[in-house]
Amino acid sequence: MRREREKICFCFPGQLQERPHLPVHHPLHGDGLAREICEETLRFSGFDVLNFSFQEGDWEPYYNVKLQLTSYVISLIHYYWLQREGIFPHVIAEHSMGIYAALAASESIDFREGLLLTRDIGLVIEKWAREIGGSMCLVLGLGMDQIEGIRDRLDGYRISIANYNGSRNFVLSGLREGIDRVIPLCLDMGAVAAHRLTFSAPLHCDLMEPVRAEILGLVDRITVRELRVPVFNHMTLSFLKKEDIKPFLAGEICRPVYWEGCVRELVRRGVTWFIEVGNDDTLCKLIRWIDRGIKTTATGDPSSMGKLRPDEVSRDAS
Amino acid sequence: MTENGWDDKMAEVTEELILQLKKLIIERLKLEEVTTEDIGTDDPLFGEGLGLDSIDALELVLGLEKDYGVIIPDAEVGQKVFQSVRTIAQYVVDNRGTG
Repeated sequence: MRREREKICFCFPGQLQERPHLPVHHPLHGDGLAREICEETLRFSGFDVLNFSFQEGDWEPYYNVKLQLTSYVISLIHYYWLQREGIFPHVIAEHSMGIYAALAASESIDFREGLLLTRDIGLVIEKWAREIGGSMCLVLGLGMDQIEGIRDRLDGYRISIANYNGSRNFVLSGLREGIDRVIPLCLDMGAVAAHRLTFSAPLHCDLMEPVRAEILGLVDRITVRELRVPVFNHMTLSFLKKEDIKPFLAGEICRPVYWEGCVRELVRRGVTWFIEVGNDDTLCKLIRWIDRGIKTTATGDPSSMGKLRPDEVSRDAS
Repeated sequence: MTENGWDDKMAEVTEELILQLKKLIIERLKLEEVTTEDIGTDDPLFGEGLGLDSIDALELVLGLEKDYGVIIPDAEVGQKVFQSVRTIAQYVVDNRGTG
């Protein structure tokens, strides 16, 4: 009996929240392709993924930059593993800083350009974060009206909704003292969880506007090519065009991530299977909340590669 | 039997309820590789145990509300309730139908 063909979306997650646990038996240590990419990463960016440290430059104190580089490299190693297994996406989606890996996967930028963009934009963001004093927090269990009510009560702290992850799942950005006040207010209102995230910058809100031009300067150095796999724009709910990419990269840190709308639209357009390409399964959990019926797999789950079979997949986008 | 009735309530946590809750966890969290036998009744659910996180907790809050009419009013209660399957079962017994 012929298997029904899946329409696959690869999802590239944003920055990891902590240094991943990579014991010596982890495939990243033993796999030849992974080792090659880690060596290339060290050569071109000075960052040693497996030891989570910069071997050159003066970037060691920038913890979030190291997390961003680690996220980028691990996502792409997983992507190349999927390719090696004969598993290809019909479409790509990305969440927050996952855009760099998404664009490298689509071959719109090359691996090295994405690597250096991740490092250099990360440094701009970190330096700005130290100047402005920003923060972000995750709030689970409250509805949008409650979140907006809290935001309005804290007028002056420039609190914004940074991620629309699901009907009761939001990430907020703002000045650090504002986020310090948001968390207890959310807990008092009955949030299932409200806690600070690792980011030191108030990403995805207008507090990032002052560095937009500097980021555009970095982005202008790279060569953007036609996308070989379409990348979905969560802001416009349409596919990114080559000419959209530079302004998107410069602007996305100042605009929210509309993840829920992105997933719903992709399902409406026929996606049947979301594969999270990264170290974790956070996006799969977000998708589970948005649409319980849709199939999800996380490549970060050690057992997942064995469940991904080429005979179930196809590049036909029909 | 005690004066405060605590032991009476403890007695109401049945194996059947424990099994139902394990099924609820597997179903709500779509843990396709996990069976009810894999979940220890007293094992921690978060961190080193089943490895759940706060996004999973939100799913469980909704599942308990839908299936048992039990409300987890805030994060503090949630932390106590979601320690293990047994603590969830105890909370269900103590609060069923009060939501």
